[in-house]
Amino acid sequence: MRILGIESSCDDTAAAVVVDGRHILSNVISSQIKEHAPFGGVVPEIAARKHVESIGEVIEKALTDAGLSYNQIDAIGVTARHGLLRSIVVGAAAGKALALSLNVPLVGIHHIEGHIYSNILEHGDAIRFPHLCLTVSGGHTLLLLVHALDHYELLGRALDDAAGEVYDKIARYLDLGFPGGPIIDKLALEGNAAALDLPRPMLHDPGFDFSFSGLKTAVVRQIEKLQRASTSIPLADVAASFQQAVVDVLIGRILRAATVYNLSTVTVCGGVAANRGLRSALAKLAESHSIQAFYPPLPLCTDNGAMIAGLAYHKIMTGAVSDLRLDAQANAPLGISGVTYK
Amino acid sequence: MKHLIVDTSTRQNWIALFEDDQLCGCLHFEDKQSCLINLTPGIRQLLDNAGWNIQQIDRCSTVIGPGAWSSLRIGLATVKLLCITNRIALTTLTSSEIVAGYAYLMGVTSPTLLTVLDAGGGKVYSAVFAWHQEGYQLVGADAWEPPSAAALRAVDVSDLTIIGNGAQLLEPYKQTGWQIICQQPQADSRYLRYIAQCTLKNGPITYDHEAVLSLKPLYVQPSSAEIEFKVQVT
Repeated sequence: MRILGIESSCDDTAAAVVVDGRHILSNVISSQIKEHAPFGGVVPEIAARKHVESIGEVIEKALTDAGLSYNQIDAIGVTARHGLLRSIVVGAAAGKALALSLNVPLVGIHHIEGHIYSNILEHGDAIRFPHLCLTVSGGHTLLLLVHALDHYELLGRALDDAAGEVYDKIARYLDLGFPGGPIIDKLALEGNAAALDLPRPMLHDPGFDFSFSGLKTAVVRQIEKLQRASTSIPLADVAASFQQAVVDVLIGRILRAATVYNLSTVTVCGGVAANRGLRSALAKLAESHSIQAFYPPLPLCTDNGAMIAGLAYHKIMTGAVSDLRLDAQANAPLGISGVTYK
Repeated sequence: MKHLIVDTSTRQNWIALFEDDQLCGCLHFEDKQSCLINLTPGIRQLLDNAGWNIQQIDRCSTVIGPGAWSSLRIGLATVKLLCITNRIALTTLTSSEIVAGYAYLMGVTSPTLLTVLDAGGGKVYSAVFAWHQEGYQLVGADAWEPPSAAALRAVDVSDLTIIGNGAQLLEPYKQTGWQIICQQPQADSRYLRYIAQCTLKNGPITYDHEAVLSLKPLYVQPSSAEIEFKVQVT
C-alpha cells in the first residue's frame, strides 16, 4: 500500500511516500528557517503563509521522487493533531482535497505519534514493546512508556520550556542564530563542558518530569556575572556547558525510567534527537547499562511526511480511517489511553 | 462547461457549482474553524447532488483575498490540490473585485468606485475601479493604508461610490458627491451567477500548472511579527 504523508504542523512543509509503513520512496521537506531566522523563532502567521505557497510543490516533488503519479497513491496520511493550528489546517486541507480527488482513504495523524513511529519506520521489529520513548523537540519534551502503537503512558513531561525551545532561547540570547539546536551542538564540539557550573534541574527529583527554564536563567546569570567581572568566556564553552547540562538531565531521566520500569529498549525521537551530544550520550548509556537504544536517521528527526505516511498504514490496517470532516487540533490527547501532556 | 466556485476569503464561506449559466448547487457556512471541517465534504456533497465527480470539473474559480483568515488558506490549499490532481483550469478573483462586482449588481453606476475593506488596526485595504461598459474595472493598484490615504486617492473625484465593510472608516473624509455603502456581498444566486460569468470571461481556458502551484493568498498586511521586526530594525 502506497501512502502519501503530509506534515505541516510547525515550520516545515513536508510530504513523503511510504510503502506498507516501512519503505520510504520519497521524503521531501521544505524548510522555512530562512523566513523565521530574523525573529529568532517560529512565527506562526509566517509559517502558515509559507505552507500555502509550498504545499503543492512539496507534494508534487514527493510523487516525482517516488516515481509515482497521483493515481498510484492508495491512501493519504496527514498531520491533524498537535502543533500550530493555522499551520496544521493547510496540510490537512491539502490532504482532504487529495483524498477527494483520488477517492482514497484519509487518515488524520497525531504529530507526536508520528515522531514516536519514526524509530519503527527506521528500525522495524528491532523496536520491541513495551519500550521507553523520549520525544524531544522545540515543541515538547515527553517521556513515554510505549505499550503498543496507539497505546502510550505518560511518565514525564517538560513543566515549562521544551528542551529544543531552550536551545533556541539560549541561541537568541547569545545572538547565534536560528534554529539554536544545531548551532549550539556544533559549537559545543569545540568547547569545554565544565567551563560553566550549571544546574541539572530536577535530575534527582522523584518522578520523570523535566524543567529547563531554570537552566536557561542560570546560563544568563553566569554570563552576566562574568561580564560584570570584565571576564569573557568563549561561546563554545558556554554551548558545551549548556548542552552537557541538558543531555545529563535527559539521559538521567531515561536511565531512571528504564530502571524503574525494567525496560531494555529505549527510543529517542523529535528534532533534538539529531543532537550529536545526546546521541553520543545515549550510545554510552546503552553500552554501560545493556540497553538497546535507537534514534532515527537525521531526515526522520525533523518534522517529516514519512513518519506520517508510515503510521497511517498501521492506522488503516486497524480500521482507524478518518472521513472528509476531519478537523485539526492544536492540542489533543495521545493514543487510546488519551494521554494529555499540556 | 462545469464550473466550481469556492470563496473562503471571509467568515461567510460558500461553494457553488455551475453548468454554463445554470446554478447547479450552492452551500454556505460560517466561521473559520468550521471551514476545514465543511469545505471538502461540501464540495463532495454538491458534486454528488449534481451527479458529477471532481474529474468532470472544467473550471475552478476562487477568491484569493485579501483576508488574513485561516479559512482563506484552507480554501486555497484545497483548490490548489483539486486543480493540480485533476488538471482543472483555475481563475482567481480578489476580494476587491468581488466587492466591485457586488456594487454593479446593486445598481451602482458611479463613474468611479472605491472598494474599502477593513484591514483591522485602523487601516483599510482599498482599490479604485472605473465604470467600463457593463461593470467595473480595476484602475488603481490595491493598497493597504490608513483611511485618510484611501480618501486622498479619490480627493478630486466628485461622483464616487465607496463600498465595502470598511467604507464607514472613510466617513470623516466624505466629500460632496460621495456615496458611502457599508455592505459586504451577499452570496445569492444572482450574485453567484455574476461571479461565474466574470471568471469565465477573464480566466484561462486551460490548466496552467505553474500558475496553480504558485497560487497564494493576497494578505491585507504583513504579519504582526514582521511589522514589529521592521520597527525594531528601523
